[in-house]
Amino acid sequence: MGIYLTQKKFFQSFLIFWEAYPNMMIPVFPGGRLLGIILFFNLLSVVYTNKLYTKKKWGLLLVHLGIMTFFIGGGLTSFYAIESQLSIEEGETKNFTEDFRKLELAIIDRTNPDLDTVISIPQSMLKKQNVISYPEIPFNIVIKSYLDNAELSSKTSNHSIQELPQVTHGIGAEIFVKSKAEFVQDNFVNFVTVHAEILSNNKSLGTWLFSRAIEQTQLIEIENKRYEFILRPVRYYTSYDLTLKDFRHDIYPGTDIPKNFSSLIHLNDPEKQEVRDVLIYMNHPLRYQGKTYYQASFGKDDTLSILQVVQNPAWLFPYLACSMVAAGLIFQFLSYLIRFSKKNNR
Amino acid sequence: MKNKLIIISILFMLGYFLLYRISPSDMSSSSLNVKKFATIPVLHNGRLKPIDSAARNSLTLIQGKQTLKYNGVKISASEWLLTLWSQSEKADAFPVFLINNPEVQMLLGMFDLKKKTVSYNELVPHFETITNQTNTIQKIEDQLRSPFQKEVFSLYQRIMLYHRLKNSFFVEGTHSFYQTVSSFEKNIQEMRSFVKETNHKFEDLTEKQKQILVSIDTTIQQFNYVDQINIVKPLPSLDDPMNDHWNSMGAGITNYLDNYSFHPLINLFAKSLDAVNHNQPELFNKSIERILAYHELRAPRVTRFAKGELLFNEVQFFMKSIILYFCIFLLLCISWLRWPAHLTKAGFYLLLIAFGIHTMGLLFRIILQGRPPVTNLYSSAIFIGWVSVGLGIILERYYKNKIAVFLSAVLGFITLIIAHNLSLSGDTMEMMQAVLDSNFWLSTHVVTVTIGYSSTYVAGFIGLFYVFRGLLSSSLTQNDQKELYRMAYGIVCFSLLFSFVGTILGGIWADQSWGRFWGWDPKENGALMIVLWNAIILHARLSGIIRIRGFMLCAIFGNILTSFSWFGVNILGVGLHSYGFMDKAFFWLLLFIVTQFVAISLGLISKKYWKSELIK
Repeated sequence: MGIYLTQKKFFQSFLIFWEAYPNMMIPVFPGGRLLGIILFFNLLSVVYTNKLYTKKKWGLLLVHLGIMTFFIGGGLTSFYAIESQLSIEEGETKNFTEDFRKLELAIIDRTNPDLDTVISIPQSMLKKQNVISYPEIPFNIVIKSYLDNAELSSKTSNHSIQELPQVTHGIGAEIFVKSKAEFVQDNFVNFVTVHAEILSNNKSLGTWLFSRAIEQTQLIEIENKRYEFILRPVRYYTSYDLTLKDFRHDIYPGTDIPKNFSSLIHLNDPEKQEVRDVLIYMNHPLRYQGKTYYQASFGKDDTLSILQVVQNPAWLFPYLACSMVAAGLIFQFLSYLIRFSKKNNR
Repeated sequence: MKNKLIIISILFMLGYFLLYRISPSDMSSSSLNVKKFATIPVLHNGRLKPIDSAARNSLTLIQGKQTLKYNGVKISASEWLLTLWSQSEKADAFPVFLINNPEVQMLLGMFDLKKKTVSYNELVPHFETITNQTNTIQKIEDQLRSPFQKEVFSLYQRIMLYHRLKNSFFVEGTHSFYQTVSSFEKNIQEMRSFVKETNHKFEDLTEKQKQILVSIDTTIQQFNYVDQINIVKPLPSLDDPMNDHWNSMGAGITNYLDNYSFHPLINLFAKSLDAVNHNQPELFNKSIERILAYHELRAPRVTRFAKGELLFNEVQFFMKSIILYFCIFLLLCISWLRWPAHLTKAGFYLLLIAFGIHTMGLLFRIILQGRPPVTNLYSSAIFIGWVSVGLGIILERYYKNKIAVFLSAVLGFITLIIAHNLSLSGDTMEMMQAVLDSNFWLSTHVVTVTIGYSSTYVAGFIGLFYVFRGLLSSSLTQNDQKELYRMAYGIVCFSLLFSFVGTILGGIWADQSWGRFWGWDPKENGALMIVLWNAIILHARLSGIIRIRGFMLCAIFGNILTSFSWFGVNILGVGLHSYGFMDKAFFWLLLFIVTQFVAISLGLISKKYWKSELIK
């Protein structure tokens, strides 16, 4: 199991479940979140019962309060931090970042020439397989099947009849879908695939196939209005544009050892009138409007730069916590040393 | 008093003798001034270094040792490289390829079991076999290869390295180097007018002109090949001497086509190689002098560093420290049987000397590399040893029981042996990966965490000492026990402080460069385990769950955690901190962990059976 899923299952949860029988989940261990809370109160009681707040023990008090701050910070991070990626080619401009681990069914209405209206249905909602309706759209979507991972291939007569719903419209009509086990490793992409029926005024317009593997949008006309549908990584839009001007991948002469990766980004924020160039490189991220952009990876013959984007309102907590603990430990250790050398000198 | 003086002076003589003996005998087995040649700076593996370092690194990779023996004569690495470049046929007969695996020996028809090294010439008949094997092996994933396959693959890689090194200056088999260069120049000059007027056809040329063109073409092909495969680049940039984009000999010679002049070093190198070939030491020495003078004039700093590194290579600080640490260990072992007071005192002084040499080596590396002490696994071993010994000396100052001296010697010896084995995998001052390229974090996070490792080991070894001495000898008095306990307690506190601060600094670095404070990366988990374990020991002591013995056994367990975090993580080969998979290290790690568990179980034996308790 990859680090991402492991973290999600064991740390970012209240309880760890064990699937004793299919669909029968039994909680067997407390998850990271619950443990954090328990440990927090445990520390609090230690401070109280051992009277760490007395004058002599303030070093220890600082250590324990610092660790409590860690837990608070960790808890906040696990709830509020958003991680996404900005995958950008040289010359390209983007005003959104993407989370490749979460998907959304985006319905794009381009009738307004100035502004596209996007309605996104999160993956969790698709997974529940029910009827989805939004006030902004004049139709309902019925999820007829949801596959965590699938293999898509073009249809041939050899394929036997499938148990999955019949796709009547769109590109999916030509595609054969085979359900596959979900990957748990970090670097594998799961091709989530959904069969959805669209109902307008309780009348079926047909069934479409949406999949992570289908990268283009599908145009569907409903009540004389055209909508584009696509199942894509969740997007987080920003109020500013980023353009990749140049990506550099330097190596040490005569070797393959990378010396430096850097992305020269042009930042354009029309709202705040902030227009400038930023160089993002190893150990030097861009922090802007609560988001931090880090150089993470690259591709396409060094013309594509991938930046990791983290939005963590609690990012200061660990800094605060560790200065507290470190100060407490240093105080304790020094006072121990002083006592010790006094004793020795006697 | 007299007795004491004698012992101490004997020790000093021993130390001096050792120091003197291990320094390499002068390199010039002939009248060629190889040492000067070894000083010439070149670009190798992305770093400017003296030829000596390039030679030692390469020879170590191929043969596992820095010097070579042929027909009973010792040949230094630089001398070997010089021969490889000037008289490749001669060098091809040197037995430089170490083959340990009996199955591979069988494959190569080596039936003389005492002989472990073969020469390039001896390998030539087996090239087809080796290549065929390698083609199959390359399709198999790294971890799934059998020991035999790994060894064959390593042999293949070493042959490639050897071949590339051999062809780094001139194509192998060249005999008159200067003539190659000058006739190329002459031919180009002769054809220059012709080349300018492009209307000519090949058919219109005279027979002689055709020959010249063919010869030019051959030379260009040869040097393009050199430019492609070389691993040593000797020609500094003409525009900016401090720039590290140096040129290979191949590029230097073909560049003549563009600007009709040679890099000034090319002729000098060609002449000096010719001089070796024709056994003209004076000419050789003069050419080398002029190459060095050229560097000295244009980039004095580069020359200074090259000289410094050569000195560093020759002195072998860490090798000397290893031997001294071992002597101290022996001395103290003897001291338990005879002359305790004098020998322990001598041991302490010798430890100071060994520590001094260790420190000098460490400082030398820091200056040469322009980096904090820990940059890779190798230097972490050196540094862990240094900190442990330093801590031992401080402990000795307070407790004066000579136990710390003994433990220091043991830890210094073991860590330097580990470092020595790690150094066999190539350049120990290699360039830093992009992510790690930050002197600030290297000097804060890495150094603190490493100090945390060292102190955990010191505490663990105090624990080991307690268990073995208590079990096997009656000399461990109640008072000694308390003293050991106090030492261990102080060190565990120190260790908690450093491992905690170091781990947190790592978190901050990770937050700065990867965007998350904590990523559950194996190395991070390892460091966290050490922090938690130290905290657990202190809390268990506070609440009375463990007393002296429990504390010591817990400290021993700290050894296991630290080794796991230090090496195990790299051996797992996953995560952002892994620097490579090491099979041999895995075996030693397992062995160490097993011994630690044995020690803990021995420590759990009822006190009734402890010799130190029987006495009462």
